Amino acid sequence: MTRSASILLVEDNPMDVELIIDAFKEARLGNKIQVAGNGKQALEFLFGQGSYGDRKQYPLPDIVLLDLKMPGIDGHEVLKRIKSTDMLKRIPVIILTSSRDEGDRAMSYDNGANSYLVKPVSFEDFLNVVKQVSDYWLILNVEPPLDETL
Amino acid sequence: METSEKENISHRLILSFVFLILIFFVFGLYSLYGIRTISDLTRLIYNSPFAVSNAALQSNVSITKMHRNMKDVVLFNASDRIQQSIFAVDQQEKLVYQYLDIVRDRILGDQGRDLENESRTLFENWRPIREQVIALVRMGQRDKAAEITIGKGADHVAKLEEKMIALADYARMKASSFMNETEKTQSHLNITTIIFLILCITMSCTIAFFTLKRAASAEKKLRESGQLLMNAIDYAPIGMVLVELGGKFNKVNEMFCEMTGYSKAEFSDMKYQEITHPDDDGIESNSVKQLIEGEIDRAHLEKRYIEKNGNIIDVSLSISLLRDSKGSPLYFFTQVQNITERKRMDKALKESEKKYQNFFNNAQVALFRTSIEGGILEINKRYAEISGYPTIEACMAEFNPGKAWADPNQRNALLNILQEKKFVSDYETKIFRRDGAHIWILFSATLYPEKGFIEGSLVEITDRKKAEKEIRELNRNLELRVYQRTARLEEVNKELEDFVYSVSHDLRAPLRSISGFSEIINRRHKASLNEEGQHYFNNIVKASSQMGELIDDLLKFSRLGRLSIKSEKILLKDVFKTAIKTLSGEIEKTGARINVAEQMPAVQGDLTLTTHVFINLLGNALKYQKPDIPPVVDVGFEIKPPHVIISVADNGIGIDPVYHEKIFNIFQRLHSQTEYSGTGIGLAAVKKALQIMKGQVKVESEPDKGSVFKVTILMAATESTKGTQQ
Repeated sequence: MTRSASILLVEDNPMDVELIIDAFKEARLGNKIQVAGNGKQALEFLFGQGSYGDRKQYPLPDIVLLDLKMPGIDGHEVLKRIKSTDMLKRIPVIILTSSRDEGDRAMSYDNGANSYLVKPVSFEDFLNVVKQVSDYWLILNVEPPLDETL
Repeated sequence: METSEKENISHRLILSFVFLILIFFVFGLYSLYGIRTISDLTRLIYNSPFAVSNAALQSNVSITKMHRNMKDVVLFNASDRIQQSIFAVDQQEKLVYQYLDIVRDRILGDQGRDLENESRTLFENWRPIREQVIALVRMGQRDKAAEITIGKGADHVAKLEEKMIALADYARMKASSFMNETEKTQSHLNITTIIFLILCITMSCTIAFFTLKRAASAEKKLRESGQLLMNAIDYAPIGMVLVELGGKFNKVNEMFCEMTGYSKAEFSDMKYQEITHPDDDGIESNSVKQLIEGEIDRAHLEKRYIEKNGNIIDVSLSISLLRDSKGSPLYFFTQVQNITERKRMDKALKESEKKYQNFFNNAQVALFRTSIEGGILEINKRYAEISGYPTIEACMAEFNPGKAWADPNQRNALLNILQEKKFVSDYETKIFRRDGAHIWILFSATLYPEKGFIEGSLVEITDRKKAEKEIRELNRNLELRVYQRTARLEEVNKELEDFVYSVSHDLRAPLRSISGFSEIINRRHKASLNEEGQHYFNNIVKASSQMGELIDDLLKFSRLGRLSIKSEKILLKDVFKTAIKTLSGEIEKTGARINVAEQMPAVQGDLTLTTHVFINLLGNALKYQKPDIPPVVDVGFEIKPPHVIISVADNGIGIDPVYHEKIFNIFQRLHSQTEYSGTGIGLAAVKKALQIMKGQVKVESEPDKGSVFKVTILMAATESTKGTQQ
């Protein structure tokens, strides 16, 4: 892998954000992680709107880690928008949530989520999850072609 | 019986004697015939052979006399003497002819007749010789005459004598042959007589013997049957009594004594009138008169007797009159039956009939008897009321139950049921009253096809029907309300579950932060904490880990109700395999042995829930072990269609029976975290999972004696019955 893949983390809980970033650090993964604190921010980032207008500074991520339960525009809405937008639909979206709810899972996959992970409680497990996600999605998985013209 | 026997014997006797008389008659005829034969033969002997023989000998004598006279004719000189001698010759000649005639008449047989002819011819031929002699004498040629007489004449006489003797011999021969015949006949007669007499004596003896024997046996029988009859009368189950015409008792039997209380000895001095109730005295006088006059053969009547002890009994009498051989009345023969009980029963029956009638008429249920076609035969007051009539009579005159049915088809259907089952009970139907209003009734009836009627009852249930309708409406409302409440309750339940779920979910986020950052501190900054700080920090880590477990269990528990449940065939063998695999860490750590029975059956349920149940139970069995004793868990089963009972038995610390119910409640814990860790949710989840699958769980346990958890769960739909294994 020639360039370090970038990650968009959509998570409203700042502690979880910190933990995830820490976990990436702990796993010694030097990926660039952009954080969106809510659904609205995430969409602005992905569509290059508002303060994220500069694509050079805020390029499209290689994967999106998406929480479901968020105030305002929730994870489902964000997922739906990503998967219904040609420019974004090929970006793998990994749901990272504390919900095991059947409805959440079903809706996520229906809307095109590429993976669904439940946040573990212990930090140890969290580390494992982050490591495995990175290994799989950022190393093993062959990314879809990105149409730069779009 | 005895009469016919007597008749039989006398018939036989008469027959036998007729037979004997016949034989004697035949024998008499035969004897007569024999005697006649003998007398005929005797007469014949007398008539012919003796007469012939005598005549032959007499004629021989006469011929000899003639010859001597002829000699005199020749010898005498005197003419008168000659004349005398010639006369004598003629006399004798006549005699000879007479004798020959006798011979001719009497002689028998051709040979005899030939002999007589020859004799007669020879005698006739002598005459010319004699006439020649006489002529010569008359001519005086005496010598010549003498010569002829002595010569030719004498020869002829000799021949004649010879013939006569032959005749006599022939006759004698005949006589002796008759004699033989007579003797033969007599000897036959003798033999026949002897045989016949022997025969007759034998037969008479035989007849006499058998007749006597028969008579003796008949007499014996007669005696026996007489005795039997006396016994029969004496021990007959009804009273029997022989009463003289004047009323004196002649004979009474045991039953009569028993009936009246008097002994036989007492009766011998009593009169019939003495035991008759004074009011009934003379009750039978008319019948007695008719009996005596022969107008009737027997009389029947009922009267009252007074027992010896003064009690009055009712009796039924059957009287007949016994007459002697001339037909004069001898005794009254009376058969007596005690009918006191029957009379009492009759009275009771009448009373009960009256009671029944009262009961029937005044019953508060409508009662009826109708013909099969529906016409009223009998009804009670209530029936008339229900049908809308003021009286039974009015109702019976006008009302036709067969046509009162609101739905005639229903009546036909009911009749069909009645024909088939003979009864029907509580059949609900509508009928029209007199005023045309319809009422609801409960119809119950029994069909008596052989009597051609239907009996039954009607209960008016119009009010009840109204009430039922109201109740039904109320019920419907109630059901609706229950349904609404249930729905609301389910909603609330769901909300509660959602609440629990989201609470546990939301609790996880801060918990995750606590445990996450704790871990980071633990990894990177622990060294910078002093001892006290490290202790508190450890407490935080422990508490957050407990809370994590608690939240996980709570989430699992609340998730049970949110799962979509399947009902499928589950192989318990596989479930335990999964459970043991899941628990392999604990098994290794505790050194436990889990023995699962072979051929675990299949059950019907949800795989996830079932697995959850047994992971929990096995987990508990491993967890609540006695200190330092490795857990031994036995899993067995018992099939009680339609359920399977699976037992999980451990050798752990056991549970006080006080807690056997409580342990299945959520958050119920019996031990502190330091003794045995846990959240108090596991068994509640087991119970809930089994409730969802229509199963149940129970525990049998005592402290220190291990626990047996028994899970009842539906058998797999296709599981055939197998044995029981522990």
